[in-house]
Amino acid sequence: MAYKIVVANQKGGVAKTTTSVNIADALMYMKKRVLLIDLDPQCNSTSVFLAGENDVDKTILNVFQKTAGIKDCIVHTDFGDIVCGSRKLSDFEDTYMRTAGGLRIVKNALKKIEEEYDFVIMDTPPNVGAYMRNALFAADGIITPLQAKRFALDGLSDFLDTIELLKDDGNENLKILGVLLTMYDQRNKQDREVKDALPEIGANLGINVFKTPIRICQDIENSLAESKSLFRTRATSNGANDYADLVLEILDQIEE
Amino acid sequence: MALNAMDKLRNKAGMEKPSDVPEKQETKATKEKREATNSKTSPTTAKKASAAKKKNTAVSKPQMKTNAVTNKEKPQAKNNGKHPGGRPPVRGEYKMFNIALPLDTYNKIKEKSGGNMTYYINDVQRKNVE
Repeated sequence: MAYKIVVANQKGGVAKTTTSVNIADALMYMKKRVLLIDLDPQCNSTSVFLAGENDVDKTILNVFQKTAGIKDCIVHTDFGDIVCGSRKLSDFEDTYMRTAGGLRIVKNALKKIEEEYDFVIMDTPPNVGAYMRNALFAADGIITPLQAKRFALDGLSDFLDTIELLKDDGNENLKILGVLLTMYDQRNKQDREVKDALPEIGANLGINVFKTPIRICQDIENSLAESKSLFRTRATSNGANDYADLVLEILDQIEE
Repeated sequence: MALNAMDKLRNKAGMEKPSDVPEKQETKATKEKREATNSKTSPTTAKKASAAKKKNTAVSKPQMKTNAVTNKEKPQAKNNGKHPGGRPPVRGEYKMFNIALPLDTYNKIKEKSGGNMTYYINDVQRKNVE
């Protein structure tokens, strides 16, 4: 049965999409069957997987609107399998927040395909709205990327409280796999201080902090821009090594 | 040799290394640059190589300049080993993070530590706690 991972943080620009895509890429490299679901109206994961092509019949919005089943929305690309996002998602977010069952649409949809995949990775928008909540209700584990910057820590505590509330509300098995430090620049003193302080902060808050920070790395940006696998084209880069180490940590967390 | 990302993932998945996978993948731009650099020769080197070929002698490499200073003493530390600036860190009683945590995170840590707060975030908050 598929292990469902949501990559989420209410703060934007912390590398949620980068992390979602590269975790999916690494798992696919390990011959796992992986499906990525793009729940972000910005559709960045979709852009990477489709390599700029926009001609997609069905997206995750069709699943929400119940005009198509999730199987019909899966696109098989050279990069991997994806249920594409839609820019129109933002028009309907309030609807699903208010509708009964509106926060469990993804959870119910995934039941139909969870035997066909080993992992489902869900990329979410930078707000705790209907789509992130859908992902949190459906997921088995959550990864919270965090920039090594002062303001990135703002709201982390609140976000973690929100996760706890949602767990109590309907997904008590949701596991916080960990907080992931991203865009880490070891030349920057503040980055180093955040990196040094984070494990202790995490221990006090009762959450895991991944030992692997994702270092700032142009190869990561280049591979996404080219819609190519980081592991197949730039395997010796810092980015590839960091994401490989991260995936190994994630698999250890899951096996615990 | 350090494992690269592919090796790490293959090892974990128990995968055999495919024989046709090159050790290092090059982007097209890197390959073109490498080929362009390899094909370039300076006029001096080309002339020497051509002359050497005629005389059937090897072209000598230019002499490397050596550092004339051999036994230079290390410069003395200006501060004689003391903390370079500001108050030196105080050990034992409390730890200090140099980053200023947001107040809600600070308060949560304080709450979870049961009031026995030994982590102080910055000088201002330390004074408030004291």
